[in-house]
Amino acid sequence: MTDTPVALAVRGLAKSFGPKVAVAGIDLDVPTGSFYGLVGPNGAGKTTTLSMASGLLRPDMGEVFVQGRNLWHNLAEAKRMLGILPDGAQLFDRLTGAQLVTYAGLLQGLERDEADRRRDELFEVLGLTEAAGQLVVDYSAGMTKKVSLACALVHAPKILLLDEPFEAVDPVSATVIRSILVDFTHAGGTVVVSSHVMDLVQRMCDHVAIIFEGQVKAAGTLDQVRAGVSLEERFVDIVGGLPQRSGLGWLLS
Amino acid sequence: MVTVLVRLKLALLANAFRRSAWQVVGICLAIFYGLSLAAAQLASIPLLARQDPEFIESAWVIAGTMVVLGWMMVPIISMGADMTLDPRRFAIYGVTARSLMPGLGIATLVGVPGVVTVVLSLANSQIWRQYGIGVVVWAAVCAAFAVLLCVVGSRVSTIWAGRLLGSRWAKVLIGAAVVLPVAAAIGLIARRGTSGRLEIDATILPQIADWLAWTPLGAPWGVTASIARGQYGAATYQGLLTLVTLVLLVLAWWWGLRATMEQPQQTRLSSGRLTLGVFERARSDLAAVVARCTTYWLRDARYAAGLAMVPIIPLFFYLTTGGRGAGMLALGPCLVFLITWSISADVAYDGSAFWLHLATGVRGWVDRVGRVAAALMFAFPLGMAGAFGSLWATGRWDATAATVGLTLGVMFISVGLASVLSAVFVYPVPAAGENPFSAPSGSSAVNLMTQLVGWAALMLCSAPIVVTGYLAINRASGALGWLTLVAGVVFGGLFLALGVLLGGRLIDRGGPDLYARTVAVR
Repeated sequence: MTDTPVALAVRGLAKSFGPKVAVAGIDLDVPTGSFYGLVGPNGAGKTTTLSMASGLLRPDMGEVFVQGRNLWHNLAEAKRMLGILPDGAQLFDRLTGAQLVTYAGLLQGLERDEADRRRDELFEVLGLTEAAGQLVVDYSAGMTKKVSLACALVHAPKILLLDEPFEAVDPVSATVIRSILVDFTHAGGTVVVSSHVMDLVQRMCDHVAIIFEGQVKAAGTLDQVRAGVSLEERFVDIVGGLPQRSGLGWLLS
Repeated sequence: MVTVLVRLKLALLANAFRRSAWQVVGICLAIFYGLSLAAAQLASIPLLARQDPEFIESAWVIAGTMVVLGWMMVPIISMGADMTLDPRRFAIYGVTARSLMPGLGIATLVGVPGVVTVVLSLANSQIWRQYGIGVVVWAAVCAAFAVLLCVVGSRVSTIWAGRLLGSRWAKVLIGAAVVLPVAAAIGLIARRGTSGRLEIDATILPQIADWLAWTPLGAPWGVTASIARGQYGAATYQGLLTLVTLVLLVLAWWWGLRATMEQPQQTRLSSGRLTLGVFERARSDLAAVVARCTTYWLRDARYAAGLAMVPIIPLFFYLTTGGRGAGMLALGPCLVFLITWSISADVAYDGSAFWLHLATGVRGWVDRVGRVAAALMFAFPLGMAGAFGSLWATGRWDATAATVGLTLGVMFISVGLASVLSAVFVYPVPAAGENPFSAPSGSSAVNLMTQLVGWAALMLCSAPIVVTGYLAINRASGALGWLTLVAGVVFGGLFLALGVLLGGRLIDRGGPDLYARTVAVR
């Protein structure tokens, strides 16, 4: 890697759930100010890796460094620098959207006035103002993603770890979120997103890692990884081509 | 379609036996229990048949109405426990509501409750033997119609329970389910207050039966009674009432089924009015946790169900102790235990939403104190109300210090222990929005063990205060009473502080492992 300082470094991370190996020794270096994409098929270990890198899941082996400091030894301190959006985790969904983001801000130690100001601004930008007084349980999937993102951003973290942030989000909101994230990286922040939408990653990210079967198959800048072809072709190449498919003649008749 | 649905129900029943060994044991016990009750009832038929006519008439109508009511209530009470044929699950297939209905109806009867109901209803027509074979046949026909009413009624309430109970209506329904029996019981007590003794007036039963025979649920049973009395006009009207009820219920079923298939997910929109509720005044992380927990106590049916039990407990105490004696004074401690103990499941109730506490790095003791404060906000006033209420009922004002001390002591020790327990154990609980009365399947033995360990620890820890308080009340000793009060506050307070600190340390250290368990039990 280059001379840019490393925001997030992962060394030899591994995790098994019972007999199933989810992550089998992953090394990653995420440079400061980069927009880093983790891609891989379903069940490749992206979510597990991100959970461990964000301090939610204790790794079996390996270490995570946030701006050079060991995350799992300085959890409370390191977490103030991280903004996390886990995939598939519940929210305190009996709160209204506004209550939830206020809650996240106060838990992060923000002053109340500051928390209110940031919450209102985030809701405005994310197009949630109308729904601020609704219970989160009544939100649509996309709105839930957006309110989770607001929770991850409210304390102005240095590094964002976002698991599938664009899933179920409408195109307009996705564009808004993307522009926020790009501005964030230009201002020196670091973003790590996981996705299985290659097109999106190719357009958005400047660094990519392809994860498959719990291991990093390729990592680096976007141009290094895709090596002259499209990311999708490279991905299919690495992951091992398409499975043999029967004709499904009855479907096509 | 009928055979497909019946086979589906049979397959689902069979699969119940393919789960963990303990669950199979539980199912077998439940079946054995049900069958022995049914057998006992069958054995009593010859005896019933020899009773006097008035008894037979009222027993037939009252018991029958209870059966129909039971079929309609069970889907509401146990929703989530048996939604095997939840109509929402058929929404994705290209079948019409009309084609589903016969199959769903018959499949409802497949299973232990259905078979028991059919057999008992038809067999009990024999109790009309002394009226001649004609009445027995009529009784069997009426019973068949009543079973039909059971089936259709239970389908209607399944649909509406499924559509309404998933929402915040749950709270209203739970409230109603609690308030109605309480109101009835208060009525009973009021009667008892005038007559001095609690007795069921035997002459009232035929009146109740006569009245029930004219209600939609009791009408099919009433027909038999009217025929037996030779009141053919009344029988005709009751028969008509039965048919009209059936038609209306079938229409409600069809309508609900169609609505469910066309719009499986209900979208709910609130006014969108921006209020922060109790968050309005939260200025720190601790205050935020308190605000969040308080909101949940009021808005989450799982906590609200615990609070809804509160009015029942004093009633229970009053009925068992007669409102007198030292036993009544245990009301305060019991109430605070019931309320505060629910935070022993707090992290389990959070489920994987607990990640927010982890991700924000909120300190463990803040997490613990916030939850404790929210629970005490409800437990303290209710516990004090219970304590002083019991003192008032018994007139034992001399035991004020002891009772208050006992209540405070149990309250503090219980929250202290619960704070530690919920930082270590996460057991399966109903998810937010599920029926709070349903126990999720799986690891019920583990669940039980955790609770037993917790209760044992609580008894052990509160023993000094309980013994002192008991002696103070029993011997009417003022000195011991004051000792209980001091011990309750000081010793209990110490326990609370220790529990919060230890629980906080456990969260700080083992938070991620706790979180992993909340994810795993889902």
